[in-house]
Amino acid sequence: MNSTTTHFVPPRRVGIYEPLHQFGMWGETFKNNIGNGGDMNSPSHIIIPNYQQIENNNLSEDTSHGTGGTPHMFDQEASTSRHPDKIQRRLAQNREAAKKSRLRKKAYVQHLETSRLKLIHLEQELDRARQQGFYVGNGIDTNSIGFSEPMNPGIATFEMEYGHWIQEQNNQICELRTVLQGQVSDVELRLLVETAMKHYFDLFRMKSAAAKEDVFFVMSGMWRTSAERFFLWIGGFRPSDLLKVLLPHFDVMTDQQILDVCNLRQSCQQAEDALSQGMEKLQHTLADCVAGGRLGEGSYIPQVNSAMERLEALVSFVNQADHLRHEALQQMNRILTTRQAARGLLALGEYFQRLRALSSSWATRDREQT
Amino acid sequence: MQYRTETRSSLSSYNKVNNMGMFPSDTLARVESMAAENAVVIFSVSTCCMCHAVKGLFRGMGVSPAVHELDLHPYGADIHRALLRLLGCSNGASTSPGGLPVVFIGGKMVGSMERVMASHINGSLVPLLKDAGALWL
Repeated sequence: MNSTTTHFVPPRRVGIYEPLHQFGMWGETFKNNIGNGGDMNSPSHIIIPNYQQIENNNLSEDTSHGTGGTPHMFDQEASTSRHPDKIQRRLAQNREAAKKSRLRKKAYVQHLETSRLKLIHLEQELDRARQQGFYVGNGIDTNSIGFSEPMNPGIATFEMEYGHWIQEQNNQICELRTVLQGQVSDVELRLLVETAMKHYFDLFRMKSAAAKEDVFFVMSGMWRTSAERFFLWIGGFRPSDLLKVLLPHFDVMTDQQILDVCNLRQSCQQAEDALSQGMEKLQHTLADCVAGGRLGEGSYIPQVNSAMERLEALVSFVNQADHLRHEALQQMNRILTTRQAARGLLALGEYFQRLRALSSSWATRDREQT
Repeated sequence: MQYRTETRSSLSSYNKVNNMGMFPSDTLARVESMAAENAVVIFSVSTCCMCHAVKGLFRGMGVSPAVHELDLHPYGADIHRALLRLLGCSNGASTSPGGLPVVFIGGKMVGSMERVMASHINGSLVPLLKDAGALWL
């Protein structure tokens, strides 16, 4: 499984300056970036991990006392003691290298500072965009620099998995589209159809796990784009609506098929109405519960356990709604031929892609107006 | 109208297999007779919202089920336990907490909300209702 902390930048890593760590880093990184004007013949000052030695220009290969250092020192010590001008040259090179080191370090620190400011700025933008309803998922936590709210790791995992799910979905839609444009055998199509169906079932499984972690999160649809959220019904799409939308896009259907699809639409509608009624009752009883006792005296919910129990029921509603979606998809698979099912899944997938694209267009449009 | 209840034989074999010797057989008999009283029988809890949903489903189809609110029934707790055993442990979290509602059609157990909805979507519920005389074309 994915690590739940990979998306999260702990505050302490940003802004804290660890000389030892930085030295190794910027030495390597900036050798190439800034252009290594340093003398390749005397790289020993880079290998030595003690930062202090550079500042004090302490490094000197002609100290024959051979203190610690690198093996490199010992090699040169023998040769330089007999050649004073070499010593001078080495010292000069040292000074040069140290100066360049300092400049590189300064450049790196400045780079870090600007990056940090940019990061803060980006996160603020992200926050603003999120408030406007633009989908900003994948577990990006806008509080990583400021105060952090502990994010539910189960939900963080779900958001990450959903990001992958969308990517895989896009791939499958692409493949379906390509394959249907050419000649393809029924056997191959069946495989694609089964894969696509299983992909949807995977999503329902993911949602069920997420609902156990935080049912309100799943119900809110915050993990979806704004236009998709507009059509949200108990944490997902409404099967009868989708059937209505997709019906005209099917190829020629037999009379029996048309009858079956109409019956399916009707039974979906009835099941949806039943679940909606249940949800309404849940809202009413919860409201009664919350308003119980005396309001206006600064007291808490008298029967808070009962209120909590009601909220537990919400999880089963989300599960039942997903179960309904699952069954509806399976029934369509039974009614249609393989080719029809493939086209149907392609149409369904593209429908949601269009909704997601609409959300982006809308969010962009908002920004232009401000 | 009496319905041939198939629950008796399945219950007795269930008893043997799971060694439920301690389970009072008159509760099971009570469940059976309650289930046989009407074409559609729903065992429910008055405060449960999923039970409310299943009642709404049948009423929306034009069926009038017989509803037993176990929280208001003198032997409600026993009946509830018996139903949970009948359902088995396989339902897990997808059913509402407590395992209810449980639906019987024509004296036979259909199951929880999940089963009822699945059979409605796959088209098997309506014929079942018609056979039991709960729905007239």
